[in-house]
Amino acid sequence: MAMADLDIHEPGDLAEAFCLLRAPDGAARPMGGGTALMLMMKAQLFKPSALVSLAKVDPRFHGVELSADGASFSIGAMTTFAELEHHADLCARLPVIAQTMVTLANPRVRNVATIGGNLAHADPHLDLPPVWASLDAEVSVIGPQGERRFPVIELFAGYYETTLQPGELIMRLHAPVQQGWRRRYVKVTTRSAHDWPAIGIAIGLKMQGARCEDLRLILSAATDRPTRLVAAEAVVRGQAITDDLLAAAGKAAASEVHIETDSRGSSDYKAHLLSVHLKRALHDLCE
Amino acid sequence: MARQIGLSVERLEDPALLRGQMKYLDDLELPGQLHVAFLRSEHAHARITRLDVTRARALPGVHAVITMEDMERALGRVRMPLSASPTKATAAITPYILSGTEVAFVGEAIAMAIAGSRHIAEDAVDLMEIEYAPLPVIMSAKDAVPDTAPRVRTEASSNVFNRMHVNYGDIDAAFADAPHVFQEDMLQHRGCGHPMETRGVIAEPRMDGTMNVWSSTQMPHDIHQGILEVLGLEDDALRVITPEVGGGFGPKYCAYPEELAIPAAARMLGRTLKWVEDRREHCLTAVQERDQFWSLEIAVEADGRIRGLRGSLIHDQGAYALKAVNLPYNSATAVPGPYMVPALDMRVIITFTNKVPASSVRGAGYPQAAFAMERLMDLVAQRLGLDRAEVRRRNLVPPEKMPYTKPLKARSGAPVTYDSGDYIASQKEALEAAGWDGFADRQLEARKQGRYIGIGLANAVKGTGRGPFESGTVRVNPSGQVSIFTGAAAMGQGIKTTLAQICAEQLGLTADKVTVICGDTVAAPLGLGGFASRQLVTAGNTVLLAATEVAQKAKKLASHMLEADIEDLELLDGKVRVKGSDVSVTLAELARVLRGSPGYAFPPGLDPSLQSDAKWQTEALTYSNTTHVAEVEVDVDLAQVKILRYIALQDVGVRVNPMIVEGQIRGGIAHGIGNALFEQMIYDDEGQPLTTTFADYLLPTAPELPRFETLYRDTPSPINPLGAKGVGEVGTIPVTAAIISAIEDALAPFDIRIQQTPVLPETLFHLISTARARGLPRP
Repeated sequence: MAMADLDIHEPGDLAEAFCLLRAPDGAARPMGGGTALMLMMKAQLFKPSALVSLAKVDPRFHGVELSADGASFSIGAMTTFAELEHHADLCARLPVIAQTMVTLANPRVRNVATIGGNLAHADPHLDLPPVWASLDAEVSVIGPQGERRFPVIELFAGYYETTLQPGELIMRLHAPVQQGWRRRYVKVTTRSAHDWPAIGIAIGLKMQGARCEDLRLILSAATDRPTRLVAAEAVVRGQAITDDLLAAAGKAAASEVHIETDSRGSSDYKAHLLSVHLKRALHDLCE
Repeated sequence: MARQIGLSVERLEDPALLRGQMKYLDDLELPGQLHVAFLRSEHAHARITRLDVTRARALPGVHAVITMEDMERALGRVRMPLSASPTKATAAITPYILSGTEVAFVGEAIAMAIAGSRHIAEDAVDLMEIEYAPLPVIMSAKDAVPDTAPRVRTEASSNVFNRMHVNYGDIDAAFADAPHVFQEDMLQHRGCGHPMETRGVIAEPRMDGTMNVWSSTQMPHDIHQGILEVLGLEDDALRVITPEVGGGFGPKYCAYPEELAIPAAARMLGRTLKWVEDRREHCLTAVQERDQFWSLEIAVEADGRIRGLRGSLIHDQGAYALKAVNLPYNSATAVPGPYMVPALDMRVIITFTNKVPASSVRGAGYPQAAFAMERLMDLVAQRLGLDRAEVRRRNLVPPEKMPYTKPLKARSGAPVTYDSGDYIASQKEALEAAGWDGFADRQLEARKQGRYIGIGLANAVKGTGRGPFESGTVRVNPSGQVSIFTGAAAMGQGIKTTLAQICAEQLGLTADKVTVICGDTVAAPLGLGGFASRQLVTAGNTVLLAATEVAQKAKKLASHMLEADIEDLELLDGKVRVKGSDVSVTLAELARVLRGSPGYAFPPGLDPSLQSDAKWQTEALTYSNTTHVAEVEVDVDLAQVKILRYIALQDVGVRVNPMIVEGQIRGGIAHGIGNALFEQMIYDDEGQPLTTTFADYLLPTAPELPRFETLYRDTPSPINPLGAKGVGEVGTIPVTAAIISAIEDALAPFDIRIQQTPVLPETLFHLISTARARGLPRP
């Protein structure tokens, strides 16, 4: 299908961008890499009258920086996946990002898609948002009313919905580098490898001896937004890891969230996959 | 004579492909061309209560909007002809060129917008105002059968389009005192063809009243015939050309409404029109194979030998028939496959449903037949406590019975005769390669470690080389280059290289000295095209005959010119040479002589041109046979299947180019793996297709495919001079059966029986959960 006519703007500063995004018909849309947006536009699911590129609005939308104390990365929203994937410092300190990239789309998409656009798209099937959430990452957003910063998990409001206010743009992402955490993203495709995940699980685990000191479990794809598995975390936190404990955690996870049936699997099957994969991944991370 | 046949010559097609220089239909830009977009039905079944195209016509950049009424006024008809194929069907079964009153599937074409760009044409479609009154929808072929069912189309007197009875032998006697009778019901779904290049049409009306049409099709001559009939043109007033075709796989075997609507509209407007199908349109409107409901009973002796087979098959035809419906006939007649079945009784019901029409996809009903039969073989083995391979061995047609004539008739009326091959040896060789005999031990060992591995096998035969003929002309040009003109259709499979090799060998050349011109009704006015794994056999033998005649003619002329005995001459390196000497004349020189010089006579007994035209004919099919063995591992906690090994033995006769054969076989197996584990065209209850992107309709990709271990037995076909058998579909036929047999074997401790294709993880999950609820596997 052919896309409808539209204007493309590339404003040189934020004020101009805010102004363009306040177009009277409300159909102007900010654009990062545009990978998800173009698909929706070609399918005519979405027909913006104008696209506003964020490529040149502000230097703060760019660059990957490690804080002087090495405690956190600050990542510009316009950073492409490929930049992160090949960023030596980031790969060394947060290897879960490179691990996630291996099965994320393909090099052509990763060369273009941006970190900010990926968050703003808020499709629950995306791979990186649950990983950021499991890292306790935060986002800085900027809008006509000013700047605010909050945990990334609070960004998601539902299918393709965020808590961003009108005019607000995601500017930077802040990902802490925590010592002693083991991390993994489990992408569960039930059919071919290029399928969207039936479920995604981002896991962070901190052990103290045989005991779990702390953990983060974030479920994606099966729910309408990346969702922290609070009950499953509570089962494991502070406990010695045993097969029985992991089985209990899997059960807790499967019963604490509402999982939708879709073409990638029934609610039952996906809940089952969640419990099995959670158990297996925690088991592997403990070793 | 330099050997060319049997060499893995690099494909002549590839340099242009690798450089991105191949010209597909969408690469053609004709001066002044306009673009077409179609308004398509949003309902699976509805009456059109209002269609107002005023606003669409008024959109700047729109040249015309054409509806069924306009079409009827111009053509005096509204329906598609039933192609060139002879058929008994006379009822109103073909689709409308454009539909105006009632639509019977989502995607049915209703009106066309013609504009300066595709964008504007699509915008114009959006401006068409249409209202529907929904009518009852029939989605399952089973629901269509009862007389009380609402009609798929209100014009139809019945949803049952046709009933066929395929039978031979004394079926009642076979079952009456049979030691064992086993029964199985199966639901077989096959998906779509999905060539990477979708369909597309360009029509160029010319000042002199003639027309050129380009179409991405497997069947240019069928399209030619259809357009002639609908537009009332004379043969020579129309030229149909297929540019390079980016895959066929069946969907381009039919002539579609767009292939008539666009030439018709081009003629009405006197403008060149172009339409390229987008992927969503392809998902909505290109033919699929879809659903067959099978119910079978097999009667066997105590030792597993087959006494008889009976049952029924309900075939989902969709809303119309684009061609004579052969697919379910293929399925019903192919059930016995490579086995001796003394009595057969199959009742076939073909029903309309409110879905896109069904027609052949690679394999054309044979994979379903193989699945049905192989599932029964596994069932017999399981119930009688016999090895699955042994049950098959006892029933395979043995080599001493070749040629083996079945009491069945092919479409031509000729008896079905398996011409050659050693099916028992094929199975044995494949099993040895797979380590079949030692597998049970490996399986037990794996189970001790909590791993569920399984092995499965399937045999199949495929009738290939469907006649009655294919055309071919071989001409030596004055440059020494050779041209072949053929009605065969190149669609990416490498047929040009293969034909060039056959020709080159006869003329003492290498394949790169031969150019093959396909898919042009002026270059080759007669032809049938690409389907039924037929072109190597039909066009290959035609080229062999034509090239042999050209070689004879070259020698005859050379014997005059070199004053040598014809028996002393040989063709080598582009020359005719006196054996054992350096006295020779080039083919180029001979071609120049036979073009004639004004006033000079040709040597006695020779006529103009170093060229020959042949039409090798056949009524019989030649049968390729295969044995495939799959080894899988099932993760029983996740219900996920991984193919560990895949061994595929083929006997496809003489392999003209083994590399091309290997590519065809691997592609065929990949297609079969898709059918076994991934591909499913899903509709909701209202007839809305849900899998209209590659994100929803999953094709297998490299990570899902195992390394293929291929084996070949090259039994030449005794019924054609080349000894060739067809290849294109052969690799696909046994795949679903082999994989599902392996999955079932892996899950033997769960006592699971799989009666459907495809087998998605969800299905396995429920089967495993149900078994677990029954206390399986037992400790």
